[in-house]
Amino acid sequence: MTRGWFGEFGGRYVPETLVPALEELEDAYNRFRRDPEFRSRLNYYNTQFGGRPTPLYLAGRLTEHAGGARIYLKREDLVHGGAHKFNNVMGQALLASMMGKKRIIAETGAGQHGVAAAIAGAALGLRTEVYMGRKDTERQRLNLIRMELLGAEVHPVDSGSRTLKDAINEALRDWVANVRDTYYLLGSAVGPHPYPTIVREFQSIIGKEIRSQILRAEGRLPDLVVACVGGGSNAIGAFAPFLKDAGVGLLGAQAGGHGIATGHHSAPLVAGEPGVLHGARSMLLQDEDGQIRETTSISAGLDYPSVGPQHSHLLGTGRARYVAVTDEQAMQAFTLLSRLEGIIPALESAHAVHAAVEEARGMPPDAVVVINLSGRGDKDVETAAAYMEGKR
Amino acid sequence: MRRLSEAFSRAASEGRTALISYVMGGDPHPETFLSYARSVAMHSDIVEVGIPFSDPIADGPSIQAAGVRSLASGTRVRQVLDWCSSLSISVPVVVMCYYNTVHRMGEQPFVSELAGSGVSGLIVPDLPLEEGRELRRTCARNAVDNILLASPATGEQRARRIASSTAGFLYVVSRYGTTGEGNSLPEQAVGLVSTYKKISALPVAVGFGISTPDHVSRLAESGADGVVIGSAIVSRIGAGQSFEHVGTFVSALRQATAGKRAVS
Repeated sequence: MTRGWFGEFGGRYVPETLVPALEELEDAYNRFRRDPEFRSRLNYYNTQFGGRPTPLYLAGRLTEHAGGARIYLKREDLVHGGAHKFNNVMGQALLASMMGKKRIIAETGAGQHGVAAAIAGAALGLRTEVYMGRKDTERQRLNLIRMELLGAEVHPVDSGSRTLKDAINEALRDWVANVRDTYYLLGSAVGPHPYPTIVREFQSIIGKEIRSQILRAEGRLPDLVVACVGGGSNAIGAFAPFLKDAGVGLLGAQAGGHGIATGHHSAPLVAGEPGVLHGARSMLLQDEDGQIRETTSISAGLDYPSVGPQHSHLLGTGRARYVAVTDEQAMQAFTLLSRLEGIIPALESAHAVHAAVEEARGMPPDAVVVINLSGRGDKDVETAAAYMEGKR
Repeated sequence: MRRLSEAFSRAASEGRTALISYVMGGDPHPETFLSYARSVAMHSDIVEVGIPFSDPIADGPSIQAAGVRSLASGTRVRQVLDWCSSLSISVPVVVMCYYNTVHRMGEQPFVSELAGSGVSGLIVPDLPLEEGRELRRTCARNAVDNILLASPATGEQRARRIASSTAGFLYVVSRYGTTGEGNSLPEQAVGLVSTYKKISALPVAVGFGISTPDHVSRLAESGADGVVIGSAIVSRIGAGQSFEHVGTFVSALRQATAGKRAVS
């Protein structure tokens, strides 16, 4: 496979000013990933600071509710910061620090990546600035406050749809201007090469742990691994170590918003076409002229018109399947998991819970399904309350 | 001889640097755009027409705002090409657009449309050397000059590859950052001109952050074959100035293209 390409997806579509920086990043990554000091420091942060490995929990009451396959939850909600974002951030922040960069910038949607970046920035003594769409600063206010408490500077973004896509635009503009001393800590498996690969590698710790934990618990590999897919970093991290195991099904849950038929959703893998945004060719929600469509989702973290290029490739080859889960279905799964298992999931992860329950229902009792529970839902309680209020 | 090359030759024969003026297609409104574009074109050697894109990562606030104005009034890609068709009767036209606009139509159909609209050149700021090979071939087959950008971040080896792959002219980005006006001429701009003049067989034009007649005059004296002015024009349109006023500003830029001789 050509460097930076996943079949016909990926690449490096960026202004010339960023090309040398991406080459520098690629070289540094290839050097440090094998470096014993880097590996041992990352391992220390992952275990002693981040709380890894996270548990793989048999969700007994959810299994009973679905009435089919046994459902396990990979508890990424228990990682420091409250989501899988830590895995990527710690790896990249350490990389930035070993590259001698003094300032990191990040974009954030739901705020989980921004919080994780602020955590890593504080721990490693790097100046941290986070771009966040104005709309997201309002619907994920808790995370805005957390970032500020952690010493990060948050820049609300007022352009475009005022969500994740626009935060990435602004972060890229900052990077073009400050590329000499700034490290762009991209939060998902999107963007120009080498980001999709770097993010996947740091997130693959999820899938590797699932693999050894399920072998211990069940003596075999799962029949299905389910994860939500916005940019797709938690999903690619959970999927990657199983790509060569033909017997392990891979299912991604995208944000169906108000429903695919309404056109108000964030599901490029279900209803998109190939296009180029934020440096990569991938599936994309766009109009006839190639203008990027505004997206809709109750969950800020999935509210994105494109997706990591490797997911587009996995869709194309048929290795993974992708479904759309509506706002309403996600909200139901959000309450369901809270009441049945005593775990309040992130709204993003609730999309995966819904898709997994639907699948598990039609599977035999000896089948095994693993849900990557990518984050916890404290940040979403206001959104959930408002949604339930509106329903009454 | 191709029209861009001709425009640079003519300016050089008059002892001037070529003035390349940027306007955003459909800005401030599809109905008034051509009046603005014509009054800008009247004083320019080359006109660069932007196709508005929803997510312009290489652009600063002025050109972003122009794109928002244009898209808000419903500008479509084919309309912009029609306007280029009208403009290209009197001035060489270069289209500037983001790669997804090209990709959406398909490289071959897009370039054919450009050629059919009399467009002389194409600049795609988010398509670097490596990803642009096929588009360069397609442009070459259709007699459209695919103009490449070089930046202060570009190393020497890469700069040579860019200089030998560009067509029409070499577009030198004068500074780190997005498009936009600057109070002072970017420090490295003059140095970049002499560096790139040494390695480029084609004319060297400088853009980003160049916004006053004084900047133009200084770059003319540094030996730049062309200067690109975008945000300074577009922000005047955005501020509601009449097309006559905008034309007067461009005319002042034009006066400065001969360097100090014209300013004094």
